[in-house]
Amino acid sequence: MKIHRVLNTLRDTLSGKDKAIELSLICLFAQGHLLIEDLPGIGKTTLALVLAKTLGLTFGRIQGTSDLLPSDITGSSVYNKRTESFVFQKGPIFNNVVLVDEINRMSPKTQSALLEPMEEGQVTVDGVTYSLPKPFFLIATQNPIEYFGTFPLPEAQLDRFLMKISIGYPPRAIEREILQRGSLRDEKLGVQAILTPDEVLAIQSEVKKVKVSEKVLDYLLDLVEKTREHPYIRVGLSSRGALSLLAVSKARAYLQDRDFVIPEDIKELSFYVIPHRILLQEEYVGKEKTLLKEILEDLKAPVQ
Amino acid sequence: MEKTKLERLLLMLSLLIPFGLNFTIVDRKFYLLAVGLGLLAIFLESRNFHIPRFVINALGVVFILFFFFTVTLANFLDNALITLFLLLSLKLFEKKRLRDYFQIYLLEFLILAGTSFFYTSIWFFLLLLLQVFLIGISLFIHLYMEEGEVAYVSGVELKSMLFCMGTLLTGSIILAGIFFISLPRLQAPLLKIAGAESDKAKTGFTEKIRLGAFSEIQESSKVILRFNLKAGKLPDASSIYIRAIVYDHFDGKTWERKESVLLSSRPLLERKGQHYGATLYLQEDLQDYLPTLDYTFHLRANYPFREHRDGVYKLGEMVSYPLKYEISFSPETRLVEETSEIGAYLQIPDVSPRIRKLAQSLRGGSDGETLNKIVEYFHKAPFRYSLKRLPQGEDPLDRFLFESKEGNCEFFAGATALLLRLNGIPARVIGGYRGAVYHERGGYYLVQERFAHSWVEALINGQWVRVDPSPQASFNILSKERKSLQRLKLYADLINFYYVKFILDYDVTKQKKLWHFLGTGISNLLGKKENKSAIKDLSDLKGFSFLGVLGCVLISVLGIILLIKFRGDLWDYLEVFKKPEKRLFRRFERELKKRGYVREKGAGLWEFVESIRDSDLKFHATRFAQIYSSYYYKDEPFDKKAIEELEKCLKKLRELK
Repeated sequence: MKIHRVLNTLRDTLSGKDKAIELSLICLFAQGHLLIEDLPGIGKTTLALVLAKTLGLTFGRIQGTSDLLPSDITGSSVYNKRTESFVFQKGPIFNNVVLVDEINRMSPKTQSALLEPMEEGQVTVDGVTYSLPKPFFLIATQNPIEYFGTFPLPEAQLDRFLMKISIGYPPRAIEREILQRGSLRDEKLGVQAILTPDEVLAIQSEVKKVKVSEKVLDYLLDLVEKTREHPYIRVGLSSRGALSLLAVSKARAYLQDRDFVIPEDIKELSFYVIPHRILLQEEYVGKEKTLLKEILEDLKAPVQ
Repeated sequence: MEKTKLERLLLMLSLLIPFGLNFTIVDRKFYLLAVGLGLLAIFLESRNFHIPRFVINALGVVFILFFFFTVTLANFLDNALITLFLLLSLKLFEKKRLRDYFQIYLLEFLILAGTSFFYTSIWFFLLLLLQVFLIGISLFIHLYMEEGEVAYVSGVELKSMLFCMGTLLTGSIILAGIFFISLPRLQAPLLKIAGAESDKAKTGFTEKIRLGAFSEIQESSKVILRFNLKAGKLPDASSIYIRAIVYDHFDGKTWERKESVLLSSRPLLERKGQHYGATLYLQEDLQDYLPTLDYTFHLRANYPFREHRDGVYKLGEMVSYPLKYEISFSPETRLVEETSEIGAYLQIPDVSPRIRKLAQSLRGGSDGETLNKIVEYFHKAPFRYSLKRLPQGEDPLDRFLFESKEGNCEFFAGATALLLRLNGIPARVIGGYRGAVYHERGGYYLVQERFAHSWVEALINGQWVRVDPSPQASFNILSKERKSLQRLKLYADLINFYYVKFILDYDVTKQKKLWHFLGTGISNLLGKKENKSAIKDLSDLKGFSFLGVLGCVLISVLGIILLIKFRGDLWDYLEVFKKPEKRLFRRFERELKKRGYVREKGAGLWEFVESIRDSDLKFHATRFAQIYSSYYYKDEPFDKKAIEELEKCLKKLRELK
């Protein structure tokens, strides 16, 4: 299957980022958007670039700064002297894969300009609505350490990201390789496209057809309920959150050649779907993953 | 083990006890027919040859019709057993499906139910229990194989099934024990089936002494009677006389009892010597006669009985055996006769002239002297005691006295009584048992069938004097058996005795006492020392019956605790009766557990399989997980193919070292 070739190529090209690759693909196939929270210099940009290349998608990049305006993202109408009319100049958002670097450095106004494309897949400028190319996949990054001069994403914005992941440092052996050969970004960008945008769209609709059994659905509902009842959690998972979890679970099943969801799908992906969507009691903030792990260990998986 | 093999093995095992137990009960011809048919069926089964069902059914109908046409009230049970046996043997010829096995086991149970009328010993009870276990386990295994469409059962599975059924059955037996102790009790048996007391033509007790009817008598060591003394010990147990019946009428060949001449008045006794109290447990039906120790002056029983002037006790109505009754007796007491209605004891049939001549030659100066002379005559050579080559023919008594001079106690007693009567001395023959074996460990006496004996009582000076004309050799039979064997038998008897004693002793009063005792005991424990009657009750409930009850209670408590403790396991095994995929999944988990992999509560199947380190094991386990989840997580029913595939995986898993 082509999807395996994609996976293998990505793994070969971006050695040491297997997990991030898998999660990115899942997010893409589940028609969601990805938030990567990591330090700079880990390879976020390369990941996004290579991903777009391999899937045969166009790539756009927005660098988040405090003075960035919404029109810098969406584009703006420019007066054309020759035709004596305004012509819409498309911004970087009009790409299949869009990397928004350091999203939390953008002003809230600019941040919210991303809401419409993320949610609707369209942009409205001067009262005219422009459809974004399909598939549309937004990867935003933010630096977890530096808070000075940043505008943390509001809950509503966070909820729109299907998953929040981090890439992490590469393993020592791979880091040694990087040191020996230097950064290989150019080389990597020479990678051949394996899929076409239409094929990606086809996969997205295939993923929707993955079967979710009653038992797994119950398991998911149990999990959602647990997050809402837990004494340490102030605000539990929203219905959109539950839906997101289900969507990514289906995508994971698809990536693993299954046409049905297993509890493990939900279990594993909940670590990337749930934490940024729930609010803990103040004294436990930052312990989202530990808490989730406890809940999952205690929740009986449906097996018989 | 393969399914068919296992089924055949279980079937054959289950046949052993019903056939074995009925060896002596059912009519020999039919028994052998049934056994023959059964063996043929098993042989044909091993060749996979089966007789068509309609033939079997037709034959079955014939057998049942045969039963209906031949049955009478008297032979109901025998006939029913024969018919059941024939039906059972027939059933073995069929090609057997699950329900056929059920039918066969049902027939076996019916046969055992019928057989239970013939046996009262604990051994039968134990065999019955064994059969219940066997059939219970067999049913379980049959169901297991059928439900899960299993073609092969491993040793581990077999073991776990045995454990499961064993626990269940032990639990139910414990419950039965509790019910026995606590449920209300009846005094009389609910029903008495006609034909159950079949006429066992054996040695020992007979209602009539038919001289010359048998040429040889075989000894039987079956226990007839057990008794224990309230206090003390008999000085010489081997010389105790146990009276069951008095024969007063002789027609030349047969001594029998003509009760018409004996008014139902109480025996008259001249009490002498030490008195004893004894509790008797009668194992076998002696044609309603209640044997008593000579000489009994009081008998107590909680069912009606009649006492006769000649010291014979007889049941007033039908009761079930074994029986329990109490007596007071004294060996030195004598029966006395005050009335003059003793003509019956002087009745003489037509006898040969040489017997009359012999009687005359033994006449002494007084009645006492005559008595001595007659007894001495028999005690001297050439008279010999023997159970073989007994005199037969037209006049066996004549033949015994003048030709063979060899016979059993019946000949000696019969001849002596006749010679006494010919000399004008009232005499009668007493039938019963002589001697008893004292069971050191059990503290009771037991009387076996082979102690059966007959002796004579002569009325001299208004007193019945006991004389035993049989040569001394007849009493040496006690020591004939090998010592070790005898000891072994005594131990076996001990268990049997306690079983009978406990079951019989446990009646309404005992029940009340036990509850009262428990009640006061508990309240005493709680600090309310209000009365001391509990201790008194304890002494009433002495011995085994109390310990037995206590033991039963303890065992029940233990059983309940164990049941609670292992209920999870039990439940696991009961899963067998649920859907096959559940059962297979349990087996899968058990198989991996054996290899040290236990799935945690929150872990999914794939996650679990992923955690296996052994690559071969992981391969097969993953395959199982793939098949299983592809049905399970798609809400699709497991079809036959899926179950087969899963079983294949499991088999491979199991085969891995």
